[in-house]
Amino acid sequence: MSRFPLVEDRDGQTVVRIPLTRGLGLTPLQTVFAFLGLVGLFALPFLAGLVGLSWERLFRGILFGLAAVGLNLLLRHTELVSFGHAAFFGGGAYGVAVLAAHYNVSEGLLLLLGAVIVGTTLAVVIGYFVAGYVDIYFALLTLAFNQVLFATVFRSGFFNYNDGLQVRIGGDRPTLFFLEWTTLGYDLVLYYTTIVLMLVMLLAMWKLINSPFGRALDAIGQDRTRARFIGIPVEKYVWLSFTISGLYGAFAGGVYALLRLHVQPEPTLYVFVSGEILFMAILGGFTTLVGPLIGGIILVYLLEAARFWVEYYHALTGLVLLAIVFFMPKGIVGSLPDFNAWVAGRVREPGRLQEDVRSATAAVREGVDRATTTVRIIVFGVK
Amino acid sequence: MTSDPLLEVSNLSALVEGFEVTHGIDLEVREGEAVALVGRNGAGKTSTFRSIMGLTPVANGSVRFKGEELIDRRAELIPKRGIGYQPENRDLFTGMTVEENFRLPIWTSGDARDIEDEEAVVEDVFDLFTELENRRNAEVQNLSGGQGKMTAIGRALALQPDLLLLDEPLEGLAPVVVENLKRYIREIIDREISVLVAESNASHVPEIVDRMYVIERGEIVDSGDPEVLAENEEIQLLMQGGGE
Repeated sequence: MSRFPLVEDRDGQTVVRIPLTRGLGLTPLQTVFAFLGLVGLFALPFLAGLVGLSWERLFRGILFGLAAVGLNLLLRHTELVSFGHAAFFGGGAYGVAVLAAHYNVSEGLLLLLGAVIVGTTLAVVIGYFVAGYVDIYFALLTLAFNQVLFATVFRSGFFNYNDGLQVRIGGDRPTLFFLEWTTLGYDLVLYYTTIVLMLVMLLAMWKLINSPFGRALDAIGQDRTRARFIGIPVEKYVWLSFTISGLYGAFAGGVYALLRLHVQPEPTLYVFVSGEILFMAILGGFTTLVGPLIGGIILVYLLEAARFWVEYYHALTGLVLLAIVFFMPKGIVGSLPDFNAWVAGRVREPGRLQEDVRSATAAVREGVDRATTTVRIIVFGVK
Repeated sequence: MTSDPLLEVSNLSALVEGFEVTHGIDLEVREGEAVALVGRNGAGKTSTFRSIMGLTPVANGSVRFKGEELIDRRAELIPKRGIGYQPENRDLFTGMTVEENFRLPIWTSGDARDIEDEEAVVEDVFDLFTELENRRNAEVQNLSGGQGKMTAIGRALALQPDLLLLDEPLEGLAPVVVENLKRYIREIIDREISVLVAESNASHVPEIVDRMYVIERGEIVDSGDPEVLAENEEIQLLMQGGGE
């Protein structure tokens, strides 16, 4: 099925039709997941408490995940690995904080608009310099820009150094829709506003990647020379996609600031955060649209929960990443179709499940055998 | 029927990784003309094409198309000026269908080529390559060698070029496919699109073109009537890797 706008002849007139749903079909399984996801998102503030999860932490996961959705536009389509997306997340967060702390802007939605403008402007500027580069050069340049930004904020009195800025106006939290709210009311209104805007942004991204522009980005990702000789303005398109990608991060960072009411450089702007955003996309499945979002929720939750269990909780990120690369290279959401096919196959032929168990046991037994042999050789010097 | 020069290449020296691989190439293609650039592998055909398309840097020389200098133009502007390019290795966009490969250049070209009716252009290409018609929705990585070449040529035709550069369109194909492709290329020429075709096999050339250049070690060594040149023993020897 073509993903391009259709030209139709209607009453002798040529009409260009861009079908809204074309190319956006969902399989039954995807529909089920989409429905469950929607219900889950809207019920989250109530469900989370019931199962003993922190809703606020999940909310933060969603925000980082949304930044990862933006980053994934570059990763999946133009095949560029950005190590600097915290610049836009942090840029958005600081956009809110600076407007509130220095300019006394008190309405949350205006602050959010400011965040998007600041973060996106950063993406426009950085994108201009990096759009012509690929591979390691692109990765290092984005990292360098990120680090420069971090160091500037960290060392600047305007941004209050490492202590960061409060998103409070005369000690009060911002208004939302020009109304003052209780603590719980504020969080709930912020959450649902974010969810609605996020769904719009996800739909927009879905349309974008299925549009001719998205295909052109795929073409650029495959081979820039090839894209050039059919006339695609490569740098311009990369620049544009970089900007869009940064916009998602800026929005997420802005909401983060409104949620935390306090913005510090380390959790928002540091290059490790860029690495984590990249990792979320890979964890959730960078070949899918919503994978990075799921990756964000899981990683943020895992990292913060792990703080209480393990001393070296950052090692956990590494271990999870290793597991993903070796066993689930398509990420969690990307592997769902394979898993589904596996389950369907076993339901059809239950006999194959026994085979799976047999081959797994055989593999374990073989591994144990080999290990004991090795140990025997080491200890006794004989087989 | 020959008229103004459409493409004039003069004294063109292309660089590949800093080394000069062609030396002072002079050639021209007139409107409505079909011309071949014949030489064995490594003689400089592809480098010449790539330097015309702005894909490789040049040490010196000039490429004028419809009177406009193309050297130092950004590569993506050149197809929009009216030169279509089928590269030697097909270089199709995998994961996309044949039709999407045709439409992508049209969609991203903006108004540069004045294409008002996208559908008509695409159907025109399918009308030419009749055997691609039922492979329209096939992803290009599943095509045969011949179909792949046709798709690459079709993609170059999608912007309705005035000049088509075909880099070894017949190479590596079964004899029957070669015959089909020759027929298609002649049809393209009949549609009044000028063609510059690179070939390593001089025997194919007289059936397709009006005039040919012989390239060897990065230099044009001869040019003229393809019927005469293809029979020339020295040229034949050169093509087989002998001669001086």
